[in-house]
Amino acid sequence: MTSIDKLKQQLLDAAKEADKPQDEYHEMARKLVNIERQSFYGDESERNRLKKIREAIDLAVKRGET
Amino acid sequence: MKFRKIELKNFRQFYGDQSITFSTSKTKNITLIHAENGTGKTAFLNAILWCLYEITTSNFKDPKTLLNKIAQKENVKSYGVSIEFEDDKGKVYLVQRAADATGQVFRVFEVINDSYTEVDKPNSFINSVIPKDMAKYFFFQGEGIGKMSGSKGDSVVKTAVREILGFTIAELALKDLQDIKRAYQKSFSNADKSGLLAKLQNDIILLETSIQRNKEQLDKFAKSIALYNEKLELIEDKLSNSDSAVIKQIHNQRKSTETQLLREQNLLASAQREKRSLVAEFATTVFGFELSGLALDFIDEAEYKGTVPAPYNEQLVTDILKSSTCICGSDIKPGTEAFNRIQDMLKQAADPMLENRIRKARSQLTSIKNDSAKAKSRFSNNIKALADTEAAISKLKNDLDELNIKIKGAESLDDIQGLENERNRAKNNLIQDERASERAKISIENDEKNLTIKKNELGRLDTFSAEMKKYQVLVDFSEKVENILRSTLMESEKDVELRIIEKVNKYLQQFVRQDYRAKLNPATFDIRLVDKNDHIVPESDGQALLLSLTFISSLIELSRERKNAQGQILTPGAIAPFVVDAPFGDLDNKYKGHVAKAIPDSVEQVIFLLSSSHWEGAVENNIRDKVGVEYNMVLEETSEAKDKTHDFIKVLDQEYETVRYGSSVDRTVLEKVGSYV
Repeated sequence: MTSIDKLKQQLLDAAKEADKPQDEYHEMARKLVNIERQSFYGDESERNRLKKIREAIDLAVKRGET
Repeated sequence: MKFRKIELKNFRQFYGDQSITFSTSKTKNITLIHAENGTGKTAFLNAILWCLYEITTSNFKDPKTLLNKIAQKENVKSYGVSIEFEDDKGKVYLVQRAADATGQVFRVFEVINDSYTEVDKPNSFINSVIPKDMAKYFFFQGEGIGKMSGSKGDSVVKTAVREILGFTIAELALKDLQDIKRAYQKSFSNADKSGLLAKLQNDIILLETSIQRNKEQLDKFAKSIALYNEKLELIEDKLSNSDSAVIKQIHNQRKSTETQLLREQNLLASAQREKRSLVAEFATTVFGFELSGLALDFIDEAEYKGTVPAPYNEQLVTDILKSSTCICGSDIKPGTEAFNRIQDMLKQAADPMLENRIRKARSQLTSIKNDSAKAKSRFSNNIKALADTEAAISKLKNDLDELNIKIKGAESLDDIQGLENERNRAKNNLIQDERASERAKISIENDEKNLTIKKNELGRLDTFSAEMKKYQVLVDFSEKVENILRSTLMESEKDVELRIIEKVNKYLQQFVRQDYRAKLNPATFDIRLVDKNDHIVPESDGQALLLSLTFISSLIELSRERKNAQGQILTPGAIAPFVVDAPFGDLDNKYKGHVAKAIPDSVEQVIFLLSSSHWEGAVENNIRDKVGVEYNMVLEETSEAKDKTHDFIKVLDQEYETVRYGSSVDRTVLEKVGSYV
């Protein structure tokens, strides 16, 4: 691996690291957007969307309490 | 992602089975499809959109009727489109959308060595390759494009940037989250049996709603203020360049008077600020001046009389009495007359602390007295400045009124009067919106202060039941997630604002010969061409189209750069073919050449749908080396040619017919042409 390739790899790793959710709130934001995405693109019924979001929040809060 | 092949079956004018194999070459990345007007360019573009997303462009007439009419007469019920593409890692997929009398089927397969594995959740899959929101920028309808700038175009730009970033989904998530948070807040209130906290919680809900509403209003005002300012700038430019020398002169005079007025108004505001600070700085001096005079007179008189302070010190007298020895050396025994006389001196002796206080008081009073001279001079200057600027403002306003009347009175110049009325309307609207914007800002500030107070009050109360605590935790959690979503959207928009204008300018440099650059109005997201003096250039249709194309190219580039974003919240970008229908409509020949050359350099795969008027000449010269494969859409007609002229296109010195008379059915067929046949 050349030094440029190494540098590229390091930058890619850094970018991946930077994209990781920083905390439970970022993680939840990402989850909600994914639920929304599935509903928006029609692979998930719209009726279930709010229910799923509520469940995700309830679960995250419960997990934080234990 | 690159398209490999498209197959159309009885889709609109494409009767029977028709297909195109696209060029996937890196160097010859253009697939050129020649199509004269009415042969099916738009239908072809819509076949792609329909197959992938079940959507069509706004200029596609009768979008519900997709089955070919001849096929329908022959009692054939099924039609469909399939697209084969390869992703960035070389994996091959087949997308099929087909419809018949019973309904529609949409399926995606991964193709490995001629074996087909169906992909689960095909809609989500396709949208992960190219999100539907971004599709219209990759599969682009050049003819239907409006201006990217101006009062109607501003939202086009903003919407495009937001769609490329995937704001639609994130904003829907934000809205859902807000609704859910409200529901938690209401549950919290309902769980409060005492009713004490319910009011507090309801106040919080009301304040949050009001802040949200005012922020939306503020956004609207910012946009309209920017639009009015821009409109005024254009009107000013028109008046400055008026054909009438008189109007031109009066207008320039008015502009200069307005500049002076603005300067005087700023001076007045600064003098008013100075007045406030003078009052704060010299309040003691002003009110204490008389008092300081009286107090100093009193101290001086007492000093003169030797009473304040006493001519001898208390400590000295006490020391003499304690040591029973006078300063002259004689003994002073208690009970003697000398002792009693010296003891009596204590009644008038000066206390060193008192002495110290008097010294300080004198210094303070002296400084008040001295300051008064300084205060007087500064107050006088300030009063003069206030009077001067007020007088100047009043005079300049009168001058302006007169100049306005003169311009309005130019009876022979209807257009000037029209401009003047327009200017007045814009100015009044601007003032109203600026005031409303200020009011909204103050409301937000007050509501935010109150919200903090209410939230603190709620936080201090510890009479929550277990149920209430549960909902409070849920509300807090939702709020934190809401803030993350909101800040992500805001920061991304700011970031893109800078990046997009940089890119537009980069493309403009390639496309435009004049010394123009693009300027983005951050409030409206309106992109305008400006000259080297920063003046807005009135756009011709060609320039507007050019700006649109640079913008689309910039969006595609931005999307490509964002391809590797992991998409924690916003949608990652996409690398996709640029399928463009009639992109060079209003461009003159040189622009066409520049643009045609630049597009294939900026995207991985291009599919140009061009009529002969679009591509002959400059376009062909600039892209010929990059064409990987070339097709011709031929209109087959059952009618006989009779006296109709035979239409041809010339590709590499060979003629190909664009209309074929006396055919067995009316339809469009796709035929390879050029050196690829």
